[in-house]
Amino acid sequence: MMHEVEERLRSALRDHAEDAPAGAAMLTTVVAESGRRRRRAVVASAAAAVTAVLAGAAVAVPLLSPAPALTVAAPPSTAPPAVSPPVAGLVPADAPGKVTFPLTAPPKAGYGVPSVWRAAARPYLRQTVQDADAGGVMAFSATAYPARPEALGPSTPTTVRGRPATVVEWSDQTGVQRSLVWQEDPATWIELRTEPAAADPDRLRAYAEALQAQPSNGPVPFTFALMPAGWSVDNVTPTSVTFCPPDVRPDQAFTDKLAVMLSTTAEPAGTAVKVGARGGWLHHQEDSTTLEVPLGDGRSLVFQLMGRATTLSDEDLVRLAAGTTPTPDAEVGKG
Amino acid sequence: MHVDFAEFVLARTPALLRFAYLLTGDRHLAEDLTQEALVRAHRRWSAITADVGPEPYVRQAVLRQFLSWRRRRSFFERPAAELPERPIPDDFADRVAVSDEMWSLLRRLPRSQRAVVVLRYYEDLPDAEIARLLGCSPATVRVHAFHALRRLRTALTPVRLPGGQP
Repeated sequence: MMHEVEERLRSALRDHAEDAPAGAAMLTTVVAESGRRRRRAVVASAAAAVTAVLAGAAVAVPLLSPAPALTVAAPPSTAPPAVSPPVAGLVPADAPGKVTFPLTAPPKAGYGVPSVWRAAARPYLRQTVQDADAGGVMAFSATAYPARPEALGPSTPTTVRGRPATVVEWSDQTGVQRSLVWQEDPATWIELRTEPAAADPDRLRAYAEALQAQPSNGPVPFTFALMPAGWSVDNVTPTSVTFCPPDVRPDQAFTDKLAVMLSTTAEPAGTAVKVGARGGWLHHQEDSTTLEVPLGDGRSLVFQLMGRATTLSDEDLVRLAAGTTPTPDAEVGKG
Repeated sequence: MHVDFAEFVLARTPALLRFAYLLTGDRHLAEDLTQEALVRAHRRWSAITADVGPEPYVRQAVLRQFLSWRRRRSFFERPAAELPERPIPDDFADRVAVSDEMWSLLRRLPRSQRAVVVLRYYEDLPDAEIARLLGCSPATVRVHAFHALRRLRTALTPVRLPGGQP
């Protein structure tokens, strides 16, 4: 049996390796990103030199400032456009206290418990359904927009929920994709899709018809006393919240953002720091900074800065962490 | 030996992406990890080409990011839900279904086990080399492989053999 498993394993790996992306634009992207980091390093070095001169004798800033005073850095007079603007410290948090989707998922037999999240700065509803045709589990995902979302391909007119609608079809690396788009009310457009494969238009319409015209709420995992000035919250799930810098486009990824997560406590790595009444570990890597704050029950709050978000200072990251509290709805993330 | 960065990227990107995709099970994340590894390589290209060579460096960078970064991926890219009960597949769909089931199970393995599985069964590396890449002992590699195979064996649907016997 073990030998058979190994053979099936080899075969599956060979088969699925062919599904990898082509990476046609990889060289262009890599060279551009490398150049951007080089310019950022030059600017950072220059800024450090200026700071050292202005400060005269250097004074070490304690990681945990006792007073919640804002730190306002003087912006450089000129800076390359690709470089993130300096973070102007922390401000009282404007993170959403709840996540609301304008419709409610149908309570049908065979459907999973729906999830309501904030995704790429939009309200998002997701519900799974067991589906033999899709090879296991299929999920309906609906996103709410304040205006008609950009069509990714040719549109076919139809009707749903008594309203004009369009079925949009396009192709990506996974094959043909299809969405159903309609205006639910004057301020709300809904785009409905399925994962991992496209459902036929009738199935999309049937699910759309079953959506109930009342808002549904999703859990918020953390409360924040402070957040980086000028940043926005673009994702909220039971396991994580991401803060997006002003020059980063909201999306569903953690790259170039501050991601706050609840995780199982890992082996300590980095430098010990004091985070409010708790201890924590601050760990710098080449293009990321992680602050882990064990909660003492096997779980940890994890604050991860990546890419362009690493402009947030260690002191501000620790102060933000000290004002962060998990709610009873917070779940430990996997992966 | 001089190796041109652009030539290296153009020639090796598909293989690197396949490696990253098998580790992550996600196209976007595979591109992210590969891009990051290549950016790092680009910034120290002369030193790398004079030392171990670009291919081992980039592959190890992809692997280390995959193993050490907590969660670079988006929150949508998570293990699939439990597979529902379904009949044993037959006919032309057999091979695809079996492969898909294995792929789904692979994505649920812990990252260290997934890395060992990909390095051993796709890259065909010996345990000693896998241990070097992962920074652990060959015995640890064997333990990861053992646990991964046991989990897969337990979860897999028996394959229908000719004659209808599982």
